[in-house]
Amino acid sequence: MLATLFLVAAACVNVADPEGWAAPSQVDGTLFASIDNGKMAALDAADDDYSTTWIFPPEDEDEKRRLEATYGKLELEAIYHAPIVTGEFVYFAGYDGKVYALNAGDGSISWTFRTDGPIIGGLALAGGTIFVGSDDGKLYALDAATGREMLPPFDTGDSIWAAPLATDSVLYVPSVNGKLYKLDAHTLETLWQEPFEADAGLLTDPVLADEDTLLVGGIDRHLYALDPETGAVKWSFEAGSWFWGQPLVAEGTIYVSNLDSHVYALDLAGNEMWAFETEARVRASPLLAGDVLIVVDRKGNLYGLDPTSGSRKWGPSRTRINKDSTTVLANPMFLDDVKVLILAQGGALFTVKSATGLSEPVEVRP
Amino acid sequence: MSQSPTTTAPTPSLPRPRNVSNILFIAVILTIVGAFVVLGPGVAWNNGFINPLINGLILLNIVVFGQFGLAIILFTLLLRLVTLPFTIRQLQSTRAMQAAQPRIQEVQKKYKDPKRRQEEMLKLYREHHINPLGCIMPMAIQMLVFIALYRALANMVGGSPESLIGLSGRLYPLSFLTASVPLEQGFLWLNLGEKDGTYILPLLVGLSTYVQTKVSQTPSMNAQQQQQQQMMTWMMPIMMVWITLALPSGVGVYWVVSNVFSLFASYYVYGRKAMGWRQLLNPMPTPAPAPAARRPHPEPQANTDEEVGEEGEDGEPALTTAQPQRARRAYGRKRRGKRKNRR
Repeated sequence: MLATLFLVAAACVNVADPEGWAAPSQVDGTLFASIDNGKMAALDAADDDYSTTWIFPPEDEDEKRRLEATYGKLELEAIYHAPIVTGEFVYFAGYDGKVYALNAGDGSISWTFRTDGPIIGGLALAGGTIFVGSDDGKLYALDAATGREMLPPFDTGDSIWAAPLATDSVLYVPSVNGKLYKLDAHTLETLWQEPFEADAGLLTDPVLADEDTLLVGGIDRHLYALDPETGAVKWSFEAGSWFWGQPLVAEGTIYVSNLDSHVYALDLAGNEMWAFETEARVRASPLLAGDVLIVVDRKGNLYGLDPTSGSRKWGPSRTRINKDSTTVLANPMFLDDVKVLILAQGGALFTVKSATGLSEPVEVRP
Repeated sequence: MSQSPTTTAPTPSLPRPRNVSNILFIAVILTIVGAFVVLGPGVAWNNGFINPLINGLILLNIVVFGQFGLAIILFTLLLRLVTLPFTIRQLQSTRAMQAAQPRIQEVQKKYKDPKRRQEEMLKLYREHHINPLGCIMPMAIQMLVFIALYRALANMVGGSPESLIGLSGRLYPLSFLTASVPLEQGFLWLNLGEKDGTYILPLLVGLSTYVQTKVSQTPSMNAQQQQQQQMMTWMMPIMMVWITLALPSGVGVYWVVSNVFSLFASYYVYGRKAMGWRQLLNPMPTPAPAPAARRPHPEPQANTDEEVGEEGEDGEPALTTAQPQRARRAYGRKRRGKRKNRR
């Protein structure tokens, strides 16, 4: 009887395998999205056609084996950050610890680079250099054209789960040991005497609210505004749970989601302007589409808010993609003046009209 | 068959703890059921089991300097120590139940009226100091902990950032707890949040389950029981290996440590003979000696007449008891003498 109960118990609960929450990117009518766990696809988004141009890794087993003979195993497992698309290349990183540079036109591999741990944070591109932080605790600087390691990696001492913020000459690198490092982008040498240190891991991609304010948050429930020159704390805002979504800064207001099922609006001095409660936790960053702030919670509930007052314009309108999953963790993407694009866990895409909240599933054609 | 008045008289000291354990068990069950009814299953399960377990494990993780594998081991040992009285009672109850099998079968054959049969069975249980609920409590606790630990580990070292989002809602808002997240997943050769690809841990789970099952088995009375025991001896380890192959390694660590603890508990109750290598390596269950006398022994730990006196293949008594060896030998000689006289 005991054994039977164990079997039932084991069958009833699942381990959360990595699925990824990479937001899509769109360039020149081509949409790059992780439409399946650990796979990147290029879709023709012109005329709402969404036909597949290529999928990586290729679905053809022979082709995949041929590539694996050169580049090693191609099992990405999951992708956690939006791809960076330049004219020629699309760059992204996988949970398998590799950085991939593909030809944007046909999905062929230009180069790959392997780190010693899963990559959960994303990439940053500045001055022809790709910067990537890995779960192995190191920040790597790679030549965007060749994938060659340009500098010895910078070791933060703990996992990096957020994308670095790169400007022309400076990098801000958060780590799950709670430290934020400011590095010289050309040498990877630290520029602050001591890194900024929070009480717990930093998870949000850092963002500059203005020239004098750097925002970063994480597990200790605080959003910190730092002086980018010195790393000194200007102010901090405490919420009920972790910050994981990158803050959005628009017209002097900071919009930031929190895993306490709220979206907060703060002024640049850190004063709370309003807070909006959602039905479920919010990992995805909010998105400003015209005069509507789009918020999507973990259960796929969509809300359209007035960005000045936080009052609800529409929602919650549940997504219409019930076949596999309605869990949404990826940031929404601005598609055009009328619609935004949402990517759910498992890879289902749907569009949402920003004025009304009406959502439609996107049928991806082979 | 008449009963001797001396054997039916209850031992003054023993019924009380048995009653206490029954009352405690019923109180725990009622509390759990009440919480599930009042709060709803999801809230009760999460707030009553999973969340305290997660925060407790993180606290232990701090105590052992961030080594989460050690925290799991420490948690297992603490839990097993707290539930040790129930475990010992279960082992004693199992042994007493096995010892009483001849008389149980006799009662079942003799009394066709279910009510009367039940009365006789209860009387028999009292005589042998068997607590029918004694086996359920440790098993229920094990089950609850097993499932709760699995859920907790899936959140804590689930091996993916998605699992950490679930953890965010379960951590108590204490800075020393949040500062420990994310937890160190590595322990020895294992990633505690993932399956063990080396198969070493599942094999350890299987081996420890086999030994534990084998040691806790008492000699069986009939062929059917022997067959059941033999099946259990093999099926349980195989099932546990199979389950461990699909679970995060942290659950396997819990299981191995728990089994090792159970071995010590079995050693305490059954004695050294049951732990002998010959006993462990023999895949067949040990047959019980044929019932010769049916009067129960007044001491519950001392078991019944059927348990003592008969010798195993190696010349030693098949079962160890709490009785002094000399007394058992003397008793055996007496019984052999009686049988000779009967012949």
